Amino acid sequence: VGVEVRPHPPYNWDVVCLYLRTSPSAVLESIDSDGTYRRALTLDGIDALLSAQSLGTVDRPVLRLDVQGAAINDGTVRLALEQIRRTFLLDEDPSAFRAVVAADGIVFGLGFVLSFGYWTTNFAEVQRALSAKDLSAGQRTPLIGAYPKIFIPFLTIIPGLIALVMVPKLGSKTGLPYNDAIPLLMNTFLPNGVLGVAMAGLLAAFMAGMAANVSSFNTVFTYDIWQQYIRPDRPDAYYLRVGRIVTVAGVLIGIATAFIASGYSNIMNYIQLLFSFFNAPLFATFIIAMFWKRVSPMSGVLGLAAGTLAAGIVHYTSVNVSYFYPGGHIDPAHAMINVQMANFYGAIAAFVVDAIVTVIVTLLGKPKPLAELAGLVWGVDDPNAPDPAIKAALPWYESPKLLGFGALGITLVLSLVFL
Amino acid sequence: VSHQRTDSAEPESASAKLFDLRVLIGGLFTVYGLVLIIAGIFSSAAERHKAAGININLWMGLGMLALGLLFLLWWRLRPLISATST
Repeated sequence: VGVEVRPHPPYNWDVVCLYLRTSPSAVLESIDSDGTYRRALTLDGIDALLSAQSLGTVDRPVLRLDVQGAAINDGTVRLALEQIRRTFLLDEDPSAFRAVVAADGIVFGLGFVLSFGYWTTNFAEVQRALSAKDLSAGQRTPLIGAYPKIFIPFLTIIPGLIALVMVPKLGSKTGLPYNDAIPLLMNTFLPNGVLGVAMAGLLAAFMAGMAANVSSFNTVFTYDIWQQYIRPDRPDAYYLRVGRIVTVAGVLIGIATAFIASGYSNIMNYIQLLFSFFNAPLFATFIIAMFWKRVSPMSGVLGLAAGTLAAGIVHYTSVNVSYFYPGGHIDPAHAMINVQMANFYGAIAAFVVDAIVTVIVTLLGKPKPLAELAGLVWGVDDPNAPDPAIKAALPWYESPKLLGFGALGITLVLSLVFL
Repeated sequence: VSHQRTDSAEPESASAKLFDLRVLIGGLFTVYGLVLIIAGIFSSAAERHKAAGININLWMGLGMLALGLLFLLWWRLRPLISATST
């Protein structure tokens, strides 16, 4: 006898299978690689075999249940359904959970702290903006950079969807892991020639990302830390040598982090974890110091340290918080934890704690002389800056307002189209 | 953070003109485009079959050539001028 059951969306059959696989059970049960679950049942003394299979998606879940046995009737099927209701977590209504989570974790954690932090504290971009030839060019830096970023989903999500269709069993127990999707697609469809261009493109992307971060790292370390605090007043040749050593050290550190990253099954979780530790507090310090001229170097340092510490505490305690589990049930193996949501809350904690510590330390300490902040903080003008009144009129396509609203408009239209 | 600015009033050197980013980008795309076009013209049926029947080398090569030439044209029409001469 076969029945189709429609659980409350979102219902993730893969996660249920993972849970059933890791939790010990007294009955005979097995899960195939294609996601078919089988177990023995006893209904009113009648032996039966139950098999379950997912036919739908996470948002439109459909479970096909088949009960096979010698003397099966409607009554025993109803009994079987009742018995497996709890096994398959059908009673939970995760949409309520998702609604709560969507309101705070995603909006404030991802939408505010992590995404603004990503786009405003990126060293490569900040340096480009600070070395721009005038204010307008500096304002245009992140806006022009935003345009290619809008179309990133087309380069990540669509090839991923194609790979899911074209590569059999991708991501399943017996198939190849998701991480192989792009190399597999390249190998399958690209002939010699374009294949080389694609490889060159990948290598160029790796190198560009690495080079931008390493050069920012050596500049910040040499100028702002080594020259400022540790060995001031040395000849330029000395700092040049320090910069070169730091460049080599930076590359080696970058390679070493690959070993940490390889311990994560999903690069997104790793990146968001790092961002919650470092970008989220940096964003809080940045935004406060940019608009408040009293903020001192000491409050910046202590705020950053406190924010990173807060993110660390959230990261290491989140495995024991039922809020981060679907339906609020902590499974013994911690396999079902919503890692992303824990990272979002880490980012929120880092931002809030950093902001509080920065404000308190600033109020207790002595502000920097205004002359040192000229041109860097809101409301403190650079006396050497050209008079804005005599500024040459910009061509219309260089207007920061037009570029900014253009990027927002395209994002809005694409969001509505792909909703 | 370092500020770099060319304050000298002397005319642009030949190397500064040659190492205009647009020359590097345009030159690279032009060369790659030509290589791909040649590979596309001499591609075998098996290679075309691999890319679902599309002569992807030829099309990609034409696109890259066009982009490279546009960068070179831009460099030709609006040469780099130093910050002091504006």
